[in-house]
Amino acid sequence: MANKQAVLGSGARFSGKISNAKSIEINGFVEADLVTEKVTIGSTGKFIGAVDSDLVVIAGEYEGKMQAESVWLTETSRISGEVHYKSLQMDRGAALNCRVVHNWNENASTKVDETEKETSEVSDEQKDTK
Amino acid sequence: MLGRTNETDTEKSIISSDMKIKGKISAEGSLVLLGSVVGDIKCNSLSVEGSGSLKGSIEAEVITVSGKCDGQVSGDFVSVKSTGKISGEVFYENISIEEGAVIEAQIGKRQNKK
Repeated sequence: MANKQAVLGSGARFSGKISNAKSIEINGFVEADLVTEKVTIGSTGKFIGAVDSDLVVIAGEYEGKMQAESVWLTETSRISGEVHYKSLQMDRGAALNCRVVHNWNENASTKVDETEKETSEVSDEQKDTK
Repeated sequence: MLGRTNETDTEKSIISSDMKIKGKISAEGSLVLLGSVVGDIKCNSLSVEGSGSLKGSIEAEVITVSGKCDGQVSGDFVSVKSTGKISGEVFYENISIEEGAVIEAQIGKRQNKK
């Protein structure tokens, strides 16, 4: 069994805090703050809370503030809250009801309201991944 | 494919070895604990592996302990492997303890609820 991969099954409910995870797959109901490298929210999964991750794949429901390098929202995903991303992929059918902020490069982004609130978070992530 | 999982596997939960969790977990299926949890767990079958540690109470039908448990352990079938350590309280209906297991707990047989 791959023990780097954490899984929360479809019948599972969790509330609390998750840290130090490498890769996590959520098919159940989770209400938590999560710091990880890769997170997958399966089609039966529901996640409420903040996410800080390199890669986020969502096929289920998400509610909260997300900060991710790379985000993939599949056709069954439903998102509400806030998404901060560097690269975003969205499939046809994805339901977004949220604020979406691109913070790949602060200078390149056109001046919108994001500048005043997000500058502190953006400033340390100026890597140009071109 | 990402985001799509094997149907038979969706009931199973795994807390990986590098993972730390604070909070409450309840699951209908089985749970494998390789990481560390501070909080309560309620599920059908729980397996605390050698690298796993738990602080809090457990309530499950089948409990297998190869790692560390600190708190109240309550199950229909409790099995403590040779590497298992339990401190706190243990309530069981059926129990098996392997040679080498460390148990520093109050142990009592539970009344059958069913």
